[in-house]
Amino acid sequence: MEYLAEIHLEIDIAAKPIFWLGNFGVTNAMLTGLVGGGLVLGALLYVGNMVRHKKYNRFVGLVQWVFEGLLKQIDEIIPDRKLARKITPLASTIFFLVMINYWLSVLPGLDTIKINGVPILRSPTADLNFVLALAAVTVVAIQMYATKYLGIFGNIGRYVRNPLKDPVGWFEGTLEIVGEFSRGGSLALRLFGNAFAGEILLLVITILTSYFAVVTLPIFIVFEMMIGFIQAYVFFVLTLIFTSLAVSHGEEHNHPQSDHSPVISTNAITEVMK
Amino acid sequence: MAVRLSRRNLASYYAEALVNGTSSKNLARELAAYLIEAKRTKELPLIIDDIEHQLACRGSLSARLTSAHALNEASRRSVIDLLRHKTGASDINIKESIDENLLGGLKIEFIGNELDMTISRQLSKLKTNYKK
Amino acid sequence: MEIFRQFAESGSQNGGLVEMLGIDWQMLLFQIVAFLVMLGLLAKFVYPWLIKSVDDRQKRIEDGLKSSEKAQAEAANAEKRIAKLLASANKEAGEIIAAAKAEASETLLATEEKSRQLADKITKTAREQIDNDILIAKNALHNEMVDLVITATEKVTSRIVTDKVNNDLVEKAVKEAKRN
Repeated sequence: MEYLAEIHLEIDIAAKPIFWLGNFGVTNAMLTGLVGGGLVLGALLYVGNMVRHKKYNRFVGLVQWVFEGLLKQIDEIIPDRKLARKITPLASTIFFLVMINYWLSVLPGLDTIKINGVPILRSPTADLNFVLALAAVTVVAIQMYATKYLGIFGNIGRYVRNPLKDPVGWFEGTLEIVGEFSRGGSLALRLFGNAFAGEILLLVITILTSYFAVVTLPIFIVFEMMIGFIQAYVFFVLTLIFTSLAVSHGEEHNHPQSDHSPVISTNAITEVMK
Repeated sequence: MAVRLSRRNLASYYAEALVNGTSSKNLARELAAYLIEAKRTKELPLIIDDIEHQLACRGSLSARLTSAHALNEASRRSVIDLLRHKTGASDINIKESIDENLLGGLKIEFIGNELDMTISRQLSKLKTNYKK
Repeated sequence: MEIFRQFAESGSQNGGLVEMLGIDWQMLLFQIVAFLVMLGLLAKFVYPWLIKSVDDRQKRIEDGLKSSEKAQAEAANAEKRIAKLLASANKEAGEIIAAAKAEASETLLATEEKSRQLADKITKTAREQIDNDILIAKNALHNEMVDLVITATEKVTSRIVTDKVNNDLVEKAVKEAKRN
C-alpha cells in the first residue's frame, strides 16, 4: 500500500508537445502518428507494387486476404457497386490506419521513455485531434457522396423539410441534423475513449502488478490489440453504414415504396450496436 | 511284161480247162509257173477259191466233209444229194476228214459256204446262249 | 485519488475544455491534410491494384465453378450418352450373338444333313458295288457251271456217240438242212 502511495502517475488527456517548431508544437501523439502513418503507407505501397507486378509472398497474401475481407463487407453493406468501389479507399485506409496506430500504443516505452518529461510514445488514436480529424473527414465524405448520389437539393431535403406541409418530416429532418453531429462525435469519441482508456489500463496494470507485470501485462497487451482491431473495424463499418443510410435515406423519402432500403445495413447496425 | 490277168479270168480259164478234161497236174504246173513268174504266189488261195467257184458255176462242186466218225455210204449219198439239191451242181467231189473234237454230226464246207451240223457246234451255241 | 486531483488541477490550470482535451486547431488541420494526402496516395497507387486482384480472384473462382459445373453437366450428359450407347451396343451384341447362334445351328444342321446324305450315298454306292460284285460273282459262277456242264456233256457225248449214232445224226441233220 505504501508502494502505491508512492507512485506518481501522470495522465494527460491532451497530448503533450515534445518540441516546438516555432509556434507549432509537435506532440508525442503526432510523432507516433507519423510513425504509424508511415508504416501503413509504406506497407500498403509495397503490397500495391507487388500485386501490380504479380509477385506474391506471405505478407502480400496476408494483406490481400485482409483487404478481401474488407471488400466483401463493403459489398454487403453497400449494395450499389459503383458507390462501394468509390468508398473503398476511404474505408480501408481508415481501418488500417486506426488499427496500426492503436497497436502502437502497446509498444513498450509507454509513459516510460520521456523527452523533456514528456512520454514519447502515445498512440494518435488517444489524441483527440487525430480522431476528430478522421471523423470530420468521414462525415464530410459521406455528405459529398450523398450530394453526388441524391443531388444538392436531394441531400438538403434530407434535413430541411417544409414544416407546414410535412411536420413529421420537418421534425425528422431536425433530428437528422442533430444525428449528423452526434454520429460524427460518437465516431471520434468512441475511438478516443477506447484508446485512451486502454493506455491508462496498461499503465495501471504495470504499476499495480509491479514485477508480476511480466506475467500479467502480456495478457492485457493481447487484449488491447484485440480491442484495437475491433475499434478499427467498428469505425470502418460505421463509415459504410452511415454512407449507406445517407444515400438510401433520401430515396426512402422520395419513394416510400422503394425496396432499395438497406435492410442489410439495418441489421448490421443492430449487430454493431450490440 | 505280160498283161496282168484278173483272177476271174484266170479262174474261168482253168475251170473251163478242167471241165474239158485237161490234166489237172499240167494245169497246176502251168498255174504255178505263171504265179511265180508274175510274182503273184500270194494270191494262190484266192485263185483256187475262184477256180472252185467257176467250176461250181459250170456244175462242178468240191466240198469237204468233216465228222467225228467215218461216214457210211448212205450218209455220204445223202450228203451228196443235199449238195446237189442246194447248189444244183452235177459233178460233186467230196473230201472227208475226221475230227473227234466235233463229237458228232457233220460239217460241210464248199465254195465260201459252211454247213455246221456238229454236236460241238450245238454245245457251243448252248454255251453262248446260257452264259451271262 | 491522486489521478482525480490531477485532472481537476490540469483543468483549472489550462482554463478551457478544448485546451484541456488537447484539441489544437492547427493540429487538427494538419491531421486532416495528412490523412487526405495519405488517402490520395493510397487511392491512386494501392487500392486499384488490390481491388483488381481481388476481383480477378473472384472471377477466376466463378469461372472455375462455372466450368466445373459445365464439366459436370457434360460428364453427366456423356454418361447418359455412354449408357445409351452401351445399352444399344449390348442389344446389338445380343442380336448378333443370337443370329450367329442361329446361323451356327443352321450350318450345323446343314452340315449334318450333307454328311448324312453323303453317308447314304456312300452306303448306296457300296451296296450297289456289293450287289454288282455279287452279280458278277453269280454270273461268273453260272458261266463256270455252264462250262463245266458243257465240258461234262462233251466228255459224255464223245463216249456215247458211236459210228452208228454219228451216222444217224448226220442223216437227221441232212434231212433238216434239206427242209431249210
